[in-house]
Amino acid sequence: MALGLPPHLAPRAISLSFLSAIHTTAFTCLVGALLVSLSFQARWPSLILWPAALATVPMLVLLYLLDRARTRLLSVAYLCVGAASVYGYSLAFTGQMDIGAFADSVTVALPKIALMLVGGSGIGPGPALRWATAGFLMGELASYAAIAQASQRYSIDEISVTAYLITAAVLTASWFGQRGARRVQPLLYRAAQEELVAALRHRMELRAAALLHDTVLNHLSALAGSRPGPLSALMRAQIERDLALLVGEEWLADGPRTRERRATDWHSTPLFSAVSEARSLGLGVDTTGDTTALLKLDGERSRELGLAVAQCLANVTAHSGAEDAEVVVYGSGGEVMVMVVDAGSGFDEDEIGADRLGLKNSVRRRIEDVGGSVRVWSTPGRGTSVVIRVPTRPADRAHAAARVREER
Amino acid sequence: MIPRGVTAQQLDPAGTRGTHLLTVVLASIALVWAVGFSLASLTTGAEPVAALIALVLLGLASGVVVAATRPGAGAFGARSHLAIHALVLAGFALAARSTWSTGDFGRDQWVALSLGIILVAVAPYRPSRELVAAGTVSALVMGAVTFSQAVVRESATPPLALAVVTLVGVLALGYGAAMYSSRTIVALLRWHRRADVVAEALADELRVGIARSVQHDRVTILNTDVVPFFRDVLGRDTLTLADAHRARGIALAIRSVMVADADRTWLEAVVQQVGPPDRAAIDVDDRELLATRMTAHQRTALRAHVVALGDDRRVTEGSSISIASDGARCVGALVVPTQRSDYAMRSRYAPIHAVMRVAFDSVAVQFLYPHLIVRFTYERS
Repeated sequence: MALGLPPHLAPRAISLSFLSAIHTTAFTCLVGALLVSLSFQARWPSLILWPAALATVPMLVLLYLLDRARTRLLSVAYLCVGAASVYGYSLAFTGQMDIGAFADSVTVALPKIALMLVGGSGIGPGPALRWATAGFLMGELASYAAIAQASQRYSIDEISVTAYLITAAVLTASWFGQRGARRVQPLLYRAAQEELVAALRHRMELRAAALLHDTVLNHLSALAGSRPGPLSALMRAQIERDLALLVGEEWLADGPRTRERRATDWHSTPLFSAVSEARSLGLGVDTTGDTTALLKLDGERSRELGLAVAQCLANVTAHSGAEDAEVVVYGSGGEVMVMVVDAGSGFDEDEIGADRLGLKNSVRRRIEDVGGSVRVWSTPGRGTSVVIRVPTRPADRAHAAARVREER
Repeated sequence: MIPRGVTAQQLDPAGTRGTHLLTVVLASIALVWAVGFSLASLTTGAEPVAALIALVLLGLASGVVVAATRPGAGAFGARSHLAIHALVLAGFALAARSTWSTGDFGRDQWVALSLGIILVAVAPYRPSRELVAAGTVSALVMGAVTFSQAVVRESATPPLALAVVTLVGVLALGYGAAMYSSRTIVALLRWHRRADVVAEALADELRVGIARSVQHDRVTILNTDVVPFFRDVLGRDTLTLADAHRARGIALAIRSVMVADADRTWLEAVVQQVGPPDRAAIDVDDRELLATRMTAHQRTALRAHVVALGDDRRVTEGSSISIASDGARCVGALVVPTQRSDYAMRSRYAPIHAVMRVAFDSVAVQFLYPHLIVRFTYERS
């Protein structure tokens, strides 16, 4: 979710981002000043301009320290040492050449801008603006002192003034611009939290719907289609199990997500149970392929796959008219694929009534809920193939949280 | 580690929308700076046509910045960013041409600083790597041209010094902008990770309670018909024709309840929960259940809007949300009658609209008195 920083964290985070940015700018200006002074020295070897380059070094060191620890002491030290450096840098030029012949940006501006970009200590635009103003004034004062000492004409340089105005504009506008965002952020958090709860509830409702469909609805349908007479032992057992489930168990609560136990052989998998139950109801089920691939699935995925296949086989029994079905298992890469095939009457998925919930809830949504996918190929009169793919790798914790949000 | 291409605008659209004022201010400063120096160069003999065209190109670049970052424009993309660099580089070439024959050559390097200011203006909208790469390339081009010109013109100022100053104008501000972008993104990603951990803990905490609540709802329904019927059948040991009829009837009733549940979307649940009790709920027209095809981000953004409307006392009755399919896309429209003015409504909901613009494929906000109309589209997820 595109959530901004909460109001209690935003001021500090914005201040730190701003300070890092202006320190980077100051560092680049100082390196530039150093290179400019060296290029002047190279052009006029007879002049002594190297002290200008040397003057930038203490500023670079203090700027590094200030960026690591934004304390008031280091900020004041940077201003004091920086002012001395600006004075030394300016004096190196003004003492030996007519600076009026060159642009301010070439001679005195760069270290002054670096001094103005002190950043300083404190959170928010007020302290930062005060530090910048102090840096600007001290830079101008130091530069003026050097120019005056060399008896040259002082003038405010546009570059330094513009840099100060940009800094002030950034500080003021960015702070005021955040007001609207600060007002709406709590609303976005509330919406995100409600979305999380709604997603959880929806997931539980889907599970409940799938479970009720697998149990109560299927058995009610079986009773509705039964002929008068004695209740079969199988039907009795199923109804007793339904009753126990309805009145006695917490069939949705699985507590905090825990990794369920992995099956150790094919006969202990839920899919094998599903096949066995279908066989007990009279459906002939052939199982082919690599059934050991099922052992790669964790408990939750294995359980949901078993329940989905049980529903597919129940559909074959109830709707296809076929007496046999085939369950094919493949394992490849990071997924297990199970295909349930019958040669029955087939159907057109688009024409399934809205009240038919088996394929929708008990197969498709259930499998999608564990990160898998379901595809159905069916032609009326020519049978049906349902292909279920389930990833073997469980989602990590971060993905699990994201999945809760993405559900529905 | 910052994922490639991520911007602060994507992570915090509401906060970035608030920086548009700063973007406008900086784009204006860049233009004013360019105008001031161009006028000064004209007084020292610069070619007016080339200088004027250079100024127009810089104006265009500033215009692109302001227009492409305006709240209704969606995400500010790499194309707009690179177009700005192209315009400014063209302006730089013309500015260099205009001052080619003047003796004041070393004083007129305004384009580099203007580009640097523009890079600061777009910092919240583009990833740091892109700001660094584009800024470095532009700076090197400008530096190389400046150096060549200084050598050819036999400038009084050392050519290397002029080239360095030109480079620093772009690099100092460009790298600063990139650092701001990077640090802001890191802070947002760190916050999102924390929020995910909290969400996961909350989910674990709530899971048991919600499960019990959902189960209780289901069992309450089943206790009225299913449990007595099953107990009755088990007690008799034989099935009658009446049992089959009764089983069919109960199955039909349960199935219809489950279908109704499955057909009720999260959006219908939300509109029932928000707003004062004396105000009619927002009307939802979503016959194809397309609200369920939104991503979590889209749901959260629309939910935030609906909740905000519920808290707004100057929204009158008659709000509606309609969602329909248009091929593979879903098209939604939120219509809100209000007593507020166009400006008041737009500014009040602008941060939420900024979030929606990032979440949905497209969002258009319109005010046709007295209705605020928000249209949005998305692909089916």
